[in-house]
Amino acid sequence: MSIVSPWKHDFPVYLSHAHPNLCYLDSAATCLTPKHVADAVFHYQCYAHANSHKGLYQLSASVTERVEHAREQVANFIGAHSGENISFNHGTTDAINLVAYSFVEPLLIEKQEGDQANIVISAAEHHANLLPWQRLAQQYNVELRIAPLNKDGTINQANLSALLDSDTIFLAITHCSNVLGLMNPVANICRIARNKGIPTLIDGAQAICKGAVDVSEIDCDFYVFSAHKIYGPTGCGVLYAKGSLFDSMRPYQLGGGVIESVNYQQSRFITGPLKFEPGSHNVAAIVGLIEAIDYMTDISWHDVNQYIDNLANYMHSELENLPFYQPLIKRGDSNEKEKISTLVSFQVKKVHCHDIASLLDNDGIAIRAGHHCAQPLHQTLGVNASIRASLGLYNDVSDIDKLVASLTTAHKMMSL
Amino acid sequence: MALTKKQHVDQKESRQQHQLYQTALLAHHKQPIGFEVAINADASHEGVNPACGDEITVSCEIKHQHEASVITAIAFHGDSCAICRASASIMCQEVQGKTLVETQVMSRQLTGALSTNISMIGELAEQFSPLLMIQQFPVRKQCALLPWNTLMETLKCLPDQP
Repeated sequence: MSIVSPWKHDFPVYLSHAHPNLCYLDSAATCLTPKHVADAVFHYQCYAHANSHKGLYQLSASVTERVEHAREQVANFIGAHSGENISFNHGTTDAINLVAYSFVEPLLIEKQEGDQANIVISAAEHHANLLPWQRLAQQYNVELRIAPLNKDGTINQANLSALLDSDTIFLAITHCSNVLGLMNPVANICRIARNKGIPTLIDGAQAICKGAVDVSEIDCDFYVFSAHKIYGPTGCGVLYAKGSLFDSMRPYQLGGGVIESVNYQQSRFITGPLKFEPGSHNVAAIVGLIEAIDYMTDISWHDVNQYIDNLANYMHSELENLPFYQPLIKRGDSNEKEKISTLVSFQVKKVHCHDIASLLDNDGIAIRAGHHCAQPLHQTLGVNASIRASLGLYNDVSDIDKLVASLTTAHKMMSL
Repeated sequence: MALTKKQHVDQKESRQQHQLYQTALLAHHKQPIGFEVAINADASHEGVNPACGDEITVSCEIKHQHEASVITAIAFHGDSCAICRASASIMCQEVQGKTLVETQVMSRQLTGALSTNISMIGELAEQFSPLLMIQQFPVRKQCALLPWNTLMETLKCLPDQP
């Protein structure tokens, strides 16, 4: 393993005088931005910006073409059939809400009074993949079923399968928990659901950073992720919908650019992904996403994954040597690629997570402390909060060593 | 109000450690006043910090003395960070024996100082000195104010005083 990240110099923040000793370990929340992406966004905004899909002039037409080409590039990136299966939005949260209110709510409205129905999620969901379903369940008086986890933090397939029955109208699960970090066997889970005729959504917010997502292989109905989790900008999300699902869905939000015709009494909507993109596109963010995908492809997803997996193993080993280290989930013995988590959530014995975060911040270390928008999962694991360290391609051994040293000092200073 | 010589020394040392976790604050965190103390409570309330899930319960014993309602005993318990715990400890130290009106004024003064303008702390600067650095760490303000907000809610739970 390289001692120093070969890609660190691509990230200008490390050259900033404002953050001279930055040790960034919060990539699961958002990745830092490589210069390539920042430059692409800057260049677009300065020299190419116009409103897409609206103007007849050349500048606008070029932007329209760029957005439509971006759909194809994203489709290619995640193994989707075509750009017609890709809709852009503001992020994973937006995309999940879109599916909840464009696809699932109409199913609930159609439900006859007295009909049983349920929606199934897992115990490891981020609030973004819990709250929309919780609200729909409450609103339409249907059951929200929670699939339990295995000891290693992955979704228990047998128990999940038992929850899926003829009344299940939707299954929404995470590809990779933002707290526990292991990949779930989503292809198997989607097959189980498909055999029972249940549509599926996979929250790919944390899994997309592995770059090996293939929605055709997973065979889910919907897949969602955000650009900023793969070194792109915030404000750009992707919704993949299988086949012609977009055509059967109603628009989630209404506004300019989504209608074929409209009068004061009624409207007829266009078909395809544009139907879910009212208003002006965040083209700069879409440009940034494409640049991020190109950047990662250029430097090689394989090399990056191998590097980060090795670093993750070092991180787990070093932390496990600390007598006060209390991980939420104990690491198994397996060295299988799927079993390597590039993030870890833990507690420091007898020291509050927020105090650890503040003390580490004083040493230039950026980590997450709290419930990481997964409060029910923390409750399930019997804790209120945890500290999370997550890796990106700019991290290296020195970051882990610094983390371990700082944790040791903080524990000594704060423990009761 | 000027700091004592010892507080100056404490401040110098703590800068080397951490601006936020001064020696005086750590002393309250490690040996908190009023923590898990059994009192004959007239009212108690549980406060929650939604950002981190911290919970703290504040209990008060109130007596009517000289035409005023006075906090004669106060205690807290719960799982919280050092900032919250130290703030709760200082609160227990400071409000014991104070009238409800004096307590409310003190709470408003601290909240204003941490939220708006540090000079609002006025004559209370010495008592609250371990907490004042929090103004420079806005994300931790809610930790320091949780005990005080919870105390204000506790007082609302009181049956009408004679």
